[in-house]
Amino acid sequence: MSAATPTTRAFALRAGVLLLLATTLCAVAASCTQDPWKAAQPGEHATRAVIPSTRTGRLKNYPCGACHNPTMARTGKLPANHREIHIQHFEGADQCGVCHNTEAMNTLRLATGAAIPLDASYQLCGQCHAEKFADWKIGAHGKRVGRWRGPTHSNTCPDCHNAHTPAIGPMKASPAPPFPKLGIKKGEH
Amino acid sequence: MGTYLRYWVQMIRCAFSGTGLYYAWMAALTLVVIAGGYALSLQLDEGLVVTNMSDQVSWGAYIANFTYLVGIAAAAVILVVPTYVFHHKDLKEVVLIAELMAASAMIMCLLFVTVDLGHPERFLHLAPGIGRLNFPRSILAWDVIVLQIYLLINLHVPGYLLYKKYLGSEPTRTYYLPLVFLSILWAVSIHTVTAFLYSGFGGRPFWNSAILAPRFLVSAFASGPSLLIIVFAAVKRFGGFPVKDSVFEYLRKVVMVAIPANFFLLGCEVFKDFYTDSTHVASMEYLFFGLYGHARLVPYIWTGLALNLTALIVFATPRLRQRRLRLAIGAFLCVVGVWVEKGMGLIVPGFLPTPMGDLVEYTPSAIEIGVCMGIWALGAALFTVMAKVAIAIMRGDLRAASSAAPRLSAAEEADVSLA
Amino acid sequence: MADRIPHNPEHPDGLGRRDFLKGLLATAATATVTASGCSTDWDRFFQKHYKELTAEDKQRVFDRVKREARERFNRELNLQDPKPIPGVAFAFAISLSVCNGNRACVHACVQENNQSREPAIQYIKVIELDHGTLNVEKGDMYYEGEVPRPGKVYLPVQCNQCDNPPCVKACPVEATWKEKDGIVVIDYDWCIGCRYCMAACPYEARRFNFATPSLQAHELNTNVGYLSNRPRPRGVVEKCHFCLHRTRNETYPACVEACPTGARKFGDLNDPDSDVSRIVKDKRVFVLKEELQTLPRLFYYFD
Repeated sequence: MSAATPTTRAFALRAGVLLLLATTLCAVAASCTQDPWKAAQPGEHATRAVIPSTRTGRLKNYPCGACHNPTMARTGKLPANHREIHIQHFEGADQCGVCHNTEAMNTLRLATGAAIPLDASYQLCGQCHAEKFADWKIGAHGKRVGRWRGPTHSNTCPDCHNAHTPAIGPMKASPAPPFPKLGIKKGEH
Repeated sequence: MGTYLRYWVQMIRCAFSGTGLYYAWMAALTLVVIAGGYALSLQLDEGLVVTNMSDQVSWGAYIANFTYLVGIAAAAVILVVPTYVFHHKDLKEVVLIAELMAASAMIMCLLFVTVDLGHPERFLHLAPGIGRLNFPRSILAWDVIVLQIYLLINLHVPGYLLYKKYLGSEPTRTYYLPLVFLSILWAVSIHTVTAFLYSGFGGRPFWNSAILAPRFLVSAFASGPSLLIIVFAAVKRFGGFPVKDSVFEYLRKVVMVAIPANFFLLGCEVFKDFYTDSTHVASMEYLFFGLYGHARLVPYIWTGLALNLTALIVFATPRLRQRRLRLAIGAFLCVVGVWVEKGMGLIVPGFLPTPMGDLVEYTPSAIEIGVCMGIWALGAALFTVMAKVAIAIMRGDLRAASSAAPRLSAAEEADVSLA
Repeated sequence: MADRIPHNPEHPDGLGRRDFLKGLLATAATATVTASGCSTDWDRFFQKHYKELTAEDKQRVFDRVKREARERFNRELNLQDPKPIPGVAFAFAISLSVCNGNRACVHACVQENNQSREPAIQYIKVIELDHGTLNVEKGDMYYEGEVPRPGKVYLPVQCNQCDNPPCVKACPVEATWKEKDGIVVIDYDWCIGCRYCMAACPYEARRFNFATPSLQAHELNTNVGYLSNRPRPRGVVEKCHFCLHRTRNETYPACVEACPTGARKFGDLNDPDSDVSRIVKDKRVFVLKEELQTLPRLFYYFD
């Protein structure tokens, strides 16, 4: 049984809460400054240094702030410039503000509400597609070009997947090998 | 030295003289050889694309014939064993002919392999020392070595014994007997190594069987003695060489055991594939019934088996086997039957389906058939000449002029053995 | 081979009749010899195995290869002979979730590696399988049209550069061998064309030049390696060699770069940070015909 006075108890309680808060804040701060896609020290979680491709240099309508200055009016209707976009991603993606940061249109909006540059779209995709993101980081998913060792140039998600309709559709196959002179057809082609 | 040269001159003269039938036979063979040579020239000019071989079926008629002829060559052991181990007197007379047939078959084998190569001029790459022979890891390297040695043995032993007979002197046992005993082991080993060429591949389940080597030997002991029956019937009828009936009887008995044994081993393979019914059954299914409506080999294999069965009946039925012509016909059926089952019936299904499931058929092209027939004709011609000369020497028609040995008496002529 | 017209001291400023005739004869002889390829063929006849060539021999051989390309295509080859990078063990990984059978890899490989167009030689086969099976016997390589076709999965196959290669065991002249970085190579000037290696391969990876490979001058890729994609003669075996003229210079193979879906991965198994090392460690990988113990270097996975 504590012989502490009510004052001491209150103080201890406050100190404890403050300590807990401080620890949590430190941890959050630490995780925020960590760069999960860059090469870590060699060890369990090592990967090659990845140089993601930049998207912004190749977008027709970037910077978005040129038209949206800086916010987007919440009309809910697509303006004339983006009429070709239709969203077929997931059920909750019914309007632009789900992924795009309507307060600062040159950035994207994480589920936490934080803003990230358009070139770091993989962070946004990785929030829902965590497994694919982990695979992408080690090179099991996605496309890498150039050199097989050292820093690698990697495609980012929008290079293959249109974020509005991410499913990759069919493509025309290149020609089949010539059918052998004495070949046997196994079924219909 | 002079005697030896004169020996060759006399042998060549003997080779170029004979009866009308002999000339006709040799002329026919020469024509076929020339036609085969022409076909080969087309192949050397354009490449192996003139054959019907493909990436999927990369071995065809040439290797099928090679495999078959190794068996024929190995079958000389059927006569060597009773002659030299059991001293069977009647067989002594004919064993040299058998050895010469083995040598001819070996030459044909080497020719078949050479025409199958993409770069025959690079054959020296196989020579240990000059080239880089991948011995002992490559079974083909083993095959190259054992076949050359077998050819040399089967050229040396008859060559030496015939030369000694020509001189009228007694052959020295140490110069040939050890090699004869070696050739007994060697005959079995050449065909075993040839079987190992196929049976060592995990990626070819149709061939990857422990009983492939026994199958090869048993089918060789069916086809080789059958071919010898035909040869001996011919030399008795046309070559003036007295071959005793006991020889035919002995060969017949060997074949009468070998054909059922061959059927049995084939049956073992058929059971294993069809009863297990794994994906590997596809090759056997293609061979016997066809796949997806394509059944190019089906008539081949069933005919081959029917021929073997008919041959067995001929060999077993007294009314048929006691007449030499009918026996020879039965032997011919066996020769062809085994060729089908071991040649086309073994090589082609091994490639169908391919390890990646592709299905491409094979049938020899006209040029392949031409080259094959040319090589067979060349082998037959070589053997005819060698047998003719050997018979002449054994009968005493060919003798060294300085030889003190008198011409044989009638009784002695009947005994034409050399050892 | 340059032929020199001999200089006659009687006619210091020019040629005498004798010189002219001598020159004519020399030219005619050289022309006949070169036209029939005899001098080249004699060189090749006496050429030693690649592993036994001295630096001098190699230079002569490479010069001959370049000369032949000049004569045939009228183009200059950039012929290299890159050595294996020490400590490197190449491997491939292919994601079967992502491969949709579009065959971009097949045709990129054909272009990169100077393969014969007629008869067509293709190192990579893409096999179309029904869902629920990996049994290639039921597969089809000859599908056409839009991919992926409904209910189908796609399995690209090529040389696996096995660690226990049946083809290397089989070759009677050691014309094919496994290099230190894992690539199984072929010395095209040593191969006798017996095709025993083709019978041995459980993955149907090897191709034979039944005819002289047909290649147009404009189709020729002039960046070649001696053991990889230099123009090959008739009558020899060839196969995928992991684009060693690229990979030994630290670049990805052509098929990896060409794949539009990113299904192909390549790297160094000895480097724990490489793509393939991470895939082999973190994904469930399998190899074809594992029971044959060929120990392939091509891993398949689903992601």
